[in-house]
Amino acid sequence: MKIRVNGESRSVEDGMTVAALLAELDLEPLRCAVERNRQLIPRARHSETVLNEADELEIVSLVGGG
Amino acid sequence: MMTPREYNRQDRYLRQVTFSPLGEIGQRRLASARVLLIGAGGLGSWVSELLARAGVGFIRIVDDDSVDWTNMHRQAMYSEADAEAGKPKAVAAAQRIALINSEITVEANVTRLAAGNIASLAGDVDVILDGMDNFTSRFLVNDYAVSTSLPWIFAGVVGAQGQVMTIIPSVTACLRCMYDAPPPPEKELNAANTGVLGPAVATMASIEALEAVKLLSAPQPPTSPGAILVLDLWNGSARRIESLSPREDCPCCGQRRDGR
Repeated sequence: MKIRVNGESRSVEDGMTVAALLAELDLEPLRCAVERNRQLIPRARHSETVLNEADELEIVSLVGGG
Repeated sequence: MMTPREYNRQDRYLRQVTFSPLGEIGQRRLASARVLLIGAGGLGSWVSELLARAGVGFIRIVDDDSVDWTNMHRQAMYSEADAEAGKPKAVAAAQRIALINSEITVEANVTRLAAGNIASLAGDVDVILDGMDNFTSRFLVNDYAVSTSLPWIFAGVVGAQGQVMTIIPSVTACLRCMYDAPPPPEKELNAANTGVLGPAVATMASIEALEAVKLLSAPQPPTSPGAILVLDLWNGSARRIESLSPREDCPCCGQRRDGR
């Protein structure tokens, strides 16, 4: 199925979870905020949240330093 | 044509108040504004200089660190003499600001932000600004800001990437709406383990300072707060994720709203 991640189209397996997507993108889940269709997904629900066709995701990797 | 000598001290903010969205009224608001800046490193040094020049009336700088040579490529305001002497950053920043703008008040606190002192440091300010270098402190600030309905501006920069977000409790998402909890310290990206470029720091600090100027000078800021700006200045990409809504089940601000 096709989803959009950070504004770009991406093909992913049907039934993929948020946690699996973060792993596929090689992102550290403890540093990521995930917004799906304008709703923030709590970290504790990343592994149970199944993505749907045409979902729009924004992923922000927390940047520290100052 | 006028020569520079025809201007005087009262013209200090002339080019700023001529910008009509700010104007004389905005300038007066800035003059009576009070900010708490936590951290006077890369972000904090630029932010404090920009806000001092802009005429923010009171700036409290909190930092327990000292200037060293690894700071010099990115931290505004500090001299080689400061690095050589290991001068406390809060003191060096305050001394520099005194040379830039003697009409404002700057207060240097050579101390580390902690749960035990945040209320006394933040109790009399209009906004908290992020110059912090770790997420334990940022989450402490977030939780305090939510508990007292105080706006704060989150900013971070590593490598050539940075983020800025204005957080207004119960209006915008808070840091815990987005991230639940700080990453463990060993998973944090910072200047020491990832490096950081001076122009990236200056860019993100400038955006943070501008967000502060908007928040403090305009009763209705022109852009909706709560959007997060994410820049990768090395690859030249920019994302702006529009106003994030607070999460109903946020462990910080969600419970607070339920409790009302």
